[in-house]
Amino acid sequence: MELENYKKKIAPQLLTLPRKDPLCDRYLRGLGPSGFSIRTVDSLNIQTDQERITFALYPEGEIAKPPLLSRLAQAFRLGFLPMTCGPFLLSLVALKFWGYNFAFWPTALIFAALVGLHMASFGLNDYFDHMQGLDRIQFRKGSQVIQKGWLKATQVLLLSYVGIFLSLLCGVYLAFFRPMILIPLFLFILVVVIGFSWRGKNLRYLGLGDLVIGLCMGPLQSWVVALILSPHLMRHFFLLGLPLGLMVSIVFQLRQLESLFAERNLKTGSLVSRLGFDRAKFYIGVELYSLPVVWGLVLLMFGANKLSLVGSILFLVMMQLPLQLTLKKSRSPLSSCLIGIGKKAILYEGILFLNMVINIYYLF
Amino acid sequence: MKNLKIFSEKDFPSYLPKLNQLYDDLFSSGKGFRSKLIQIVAEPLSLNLKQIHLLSQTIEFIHNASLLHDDLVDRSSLRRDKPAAWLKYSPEYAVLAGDYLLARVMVNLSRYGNLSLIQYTSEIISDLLEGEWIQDSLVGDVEIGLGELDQVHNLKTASLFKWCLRAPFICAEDSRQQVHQTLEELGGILGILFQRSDDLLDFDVRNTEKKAVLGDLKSGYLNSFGVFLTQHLVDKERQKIKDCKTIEQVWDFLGRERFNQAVESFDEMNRKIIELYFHYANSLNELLVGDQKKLIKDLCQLPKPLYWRSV
Repeated sequence: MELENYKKKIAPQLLTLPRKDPLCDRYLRGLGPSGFSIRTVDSLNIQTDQERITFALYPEGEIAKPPLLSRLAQAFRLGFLPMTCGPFLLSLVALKFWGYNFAFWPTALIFAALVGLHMASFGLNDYFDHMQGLDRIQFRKGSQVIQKGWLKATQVLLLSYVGIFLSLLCGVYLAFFRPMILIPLFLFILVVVIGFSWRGKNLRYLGLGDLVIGLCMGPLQSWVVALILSPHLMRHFFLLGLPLGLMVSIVFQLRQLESLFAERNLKTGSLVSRLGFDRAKFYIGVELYSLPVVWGLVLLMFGANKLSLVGSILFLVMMQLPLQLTLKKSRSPLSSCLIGIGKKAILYEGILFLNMVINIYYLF
Repeated sequence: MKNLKIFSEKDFPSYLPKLNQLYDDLFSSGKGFRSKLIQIVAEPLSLNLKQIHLLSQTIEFIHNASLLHDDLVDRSSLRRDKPAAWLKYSPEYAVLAGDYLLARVMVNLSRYGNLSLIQYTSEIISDLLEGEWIQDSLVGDVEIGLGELDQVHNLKTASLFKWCLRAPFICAEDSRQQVHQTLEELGGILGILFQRSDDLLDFDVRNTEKKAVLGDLKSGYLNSFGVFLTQHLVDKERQKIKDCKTIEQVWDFLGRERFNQAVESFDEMNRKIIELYFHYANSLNELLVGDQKKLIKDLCQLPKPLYWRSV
């Protein structure tokens, strides 16, 4: 009988377990029987009491993996690091043009802290999405490194903790530059990073994820850098990071748009899922148009001349047209136009960043 | 397996002009695979003939309603080698005939009185329509990925297969969650395999029935094998495939050997899915009792006709 033949040949390789089974939890973390690697293959009724997960066991070494550095770069989204550090770099440039000289070690520690937070936020995001089943259905999102069996979930979690530890270590030193302001700010940032994708009703579920991430990766970051590296309070540096923070929110929203269909039954609570496909597209489109305007207003407050201001706004509007057209062309969450739209948005963020640097140069 | 007559003239009002004629055309052709699947599942559960007939009629009504609407939405001129209903009768009649079939499903099920069955059936119809809607939004999108298509097929095609496996158990008042979960998995895989096999037929692979080919491509839609075939091509090359009018043009463009290699790789990918299917069948075997276990043998034989199109 076909089933018997199958059992002899293949049976040891696949195993289905209810989610509540403690063994399931172990296998999800990548802790399989010795001599075997584990991959999750299928899931049913994700995030319900009836969830069941199918695992495939492979003899150790059978899963082809790229080099370790490549896997780590993918897992921790090395390509997004410029976006994470954008406000930091912008503040450095602005401080330099403004005539400030800043010390090497605080600058290096700020960078190290940012790298640590970056690792922590993406690593924790991947880990918890994997454990909660989201990355098993939203194949466009997440690094998919755990799903492909390239890294175990426990390894990703451990490296995220390393990132948190690194940022804490650097943060403890840096906080003493202005403890009254920086300690609460650092704590807030840490809570946001950890709370963004923690299991249960996290910030993303509450529809606040994009907002707080935009705040941390935009105005808060640029202000904190200026607070540490300059002798003054530099409140206006908060405004400097505003356009970049808005752009980061847009990037996150676009990535949510890509996985909207896959998440339709999960009630993730993100802003995009609450708005629905058509309204989310409209909202993101309006945000994109408002971005050059926000930057223009910031420049105006810094005293830029009207000609360079208008030129800057028009340039940024023109550069975002491909993104706007892509949004308009996409007729459904499964549309191929949306594939890679997050990366296109990051490219636009780079253009925005360069535009900001050039304007600051001419401003000061 | 008995040859079930899915409908009789008594099922529809005789005073509505052309309605019975339309349904005669529709139900006289077609393999009735889904109703046969119902019989396969129903027999070990000892359902009576009335129940089997109800379930078979329900699934064929839902399936054919979707075909009536599909043909109009896609502007397909042929259905089972005959003129499509919207062309032969009129678009209005095709839409109304489809709606009427769905209404009859609700009437028949509510008269039968199993609330779980009514609830599940309405969910499946909802899934089917959702899949149709999304699929329509993908027409002309040649850069679509296999993952996206699978999500559509899971709603459109697989939902009916899931129903075929689960509905008899609901009818038999067997509501064990684990059984239904496993059946849901099995149905989902059968649906994907069936759709992928159909998509291969569209590229004249294992096309023993000599069906018309490249119908999907001509409608501006790249099916799962088309996506697989073109996954490594650049945009211009993919566009050229989309513009092909005959299968010979596809072979000429890609090269016959490359095409055959793609078929082999696609088959290999689907073999892994069949392995998963057998795994779930094995786990179902542990959940069934007594005569119900006879079902497993029949279920394990399904991938052969469904995917490989061999009896």
